[in-house]
Amino acid sequence: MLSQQILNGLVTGSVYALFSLGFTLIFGVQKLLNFAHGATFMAGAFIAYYCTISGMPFLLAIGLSMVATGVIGIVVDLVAFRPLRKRGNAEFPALVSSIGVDLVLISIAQQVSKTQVLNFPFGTFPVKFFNFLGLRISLLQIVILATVAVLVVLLIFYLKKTSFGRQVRAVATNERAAALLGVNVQSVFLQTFFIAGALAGLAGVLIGLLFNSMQFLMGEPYMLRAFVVVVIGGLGSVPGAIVASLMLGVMQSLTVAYLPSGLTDAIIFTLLFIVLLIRPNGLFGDANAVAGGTRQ
Amino acid sequence: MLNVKDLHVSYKGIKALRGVSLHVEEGEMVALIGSNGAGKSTLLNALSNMVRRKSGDIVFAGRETRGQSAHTVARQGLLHVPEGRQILADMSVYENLLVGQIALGSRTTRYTLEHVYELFPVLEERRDQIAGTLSGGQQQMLAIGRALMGGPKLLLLDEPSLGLSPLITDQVFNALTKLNQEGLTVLLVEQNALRALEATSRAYVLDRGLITHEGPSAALAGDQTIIDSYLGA
Ligand SMILES: Nc1ncnc2c1ncn2[C@@H]1O[C@H](COP(=O)(O)OP(=O)(O)OP(=O)(O)O)[C@@H](O)[C@H]1O
Ligand SMILES: [Mg+2]
Repeated sequence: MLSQQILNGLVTGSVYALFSLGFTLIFGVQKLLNFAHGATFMAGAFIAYYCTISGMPFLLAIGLSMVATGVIGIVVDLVAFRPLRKRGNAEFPALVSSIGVDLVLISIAQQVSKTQVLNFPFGTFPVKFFNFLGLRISLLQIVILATVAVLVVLLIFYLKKTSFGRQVRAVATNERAAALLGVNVQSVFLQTFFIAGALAGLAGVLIGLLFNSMQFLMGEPYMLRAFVVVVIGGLGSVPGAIVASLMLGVMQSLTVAYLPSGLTDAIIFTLLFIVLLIRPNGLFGDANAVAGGTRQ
Repeated sequence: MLNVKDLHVSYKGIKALRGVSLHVEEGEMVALIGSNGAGKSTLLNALSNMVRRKSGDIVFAGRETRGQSAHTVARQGLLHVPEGRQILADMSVYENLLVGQIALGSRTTRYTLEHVYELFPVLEERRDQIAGTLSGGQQQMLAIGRALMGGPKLLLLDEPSLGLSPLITDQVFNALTKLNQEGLTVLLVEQNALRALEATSRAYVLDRGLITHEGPSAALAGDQTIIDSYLGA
């Protein structure tokens, strides 16, 4: 039973990781918090849902939804962040304007769905279970774990080993120096927003499938959790976000299983508090961040 | 190579440059000296389009740079090694050099990785070290090496000797002289006026946003008003 809960927690945690990576990547590169990330996640689930019920093959629907949420990410940058960045000192205004975009997306979704809870039609994803070592794992859980693992490896490879990734890290480390070296900072921002949006969109679809329930406010609790994950992991740290997401998923699964239901959030935030007391910069704060680092 | 005419730059009312004109010809190494707050860094930042000019013309390699973004200017071969070096502290020495290569684009350059390593052997020894843990002198060498990787037609240097011991300053200046002898065009900003005048053929003196003197470096080094103001003690 315990190991079953841990397994379930790891699956949820891996989706948190997908969601939080984009959030931490944007923070690492721009030093700005993108509060439209939750609605982007919701939009991913919604777009995949409406594509599926209109008869599109499910895989195509996922692909389309990732591209669309990537584009939403780009729009967030162009509309909410870029105009503020030009004027300097954008931290607080950008937070407010990204909440604005978040609310707009939520309102649209509310209209479109008429505030209904949506479910993927039965059979969208094959329902299949496997048993091994006394654990019960669904095909969906396996696919989620594998997909997230592959994407995380790809993302780290992209950041560490490609010229584009080096440019992303250069901007994260020192935006002015990067510009002097010929790095197109605006295009780096657009790229990271696209990647972050697409990952959030995919996370939305996966959560929609996993709990088979989607509604226009579904992104908001995830936004809060991504925030916790990113702070615990260390702002801007990719490995930190992954470790903290998995920890959070497992913690949540265990508290839901063994403790009165109302305690889950209290425990998560107590954990956050304790981590921050011991390590104010988070588990992976500062120097060893892949995308982050200190601004000079 | 570079032609600046009547350049004005202001920061929220503070007039940092009040009509600066200067030129740098191909193959020259030119010094710009002046005291704290004279506007030297502002001038270099205006040349690399890191700050917006209020008015004036900047023509680099035959093209007016007005309205271009900083990365576009860099990609045309105007490379600026900023004050305080500004290395990418979280990345390795080698990665810093690779990022430096971005400005090269599809152009070609004689400054290959081998060339940079030959000029500053310590960068090869420290290839995988995190750049933020290098010493000040090593960081300055990295900042110059990184700019070379971008294929400079004109290299702007902002106080390369800042915070360096005399010995390391010698090494850096020797490297700059060697680069210039091989044909690199350099505009060198320095507070260490004596060193700058020794290393260059021509020089400008900037004072509170205005060019007050210009001429052969040797002549300026012998000018009594300049000795009193900038070469004293
Ligand atoms: N970002 C800025 N905002 C407002 N004022 C500035 C800014 N940068 C420079 N200044 C002002 O412009 C003037 C010129 O500064 P600048 O940095 O160009 O001088 P400098 O000659 O490089 O000095 P130093 O030798 O100390 O580096 C100074 O009065 C400075 O206070
Ligand atoms: Mg200066």
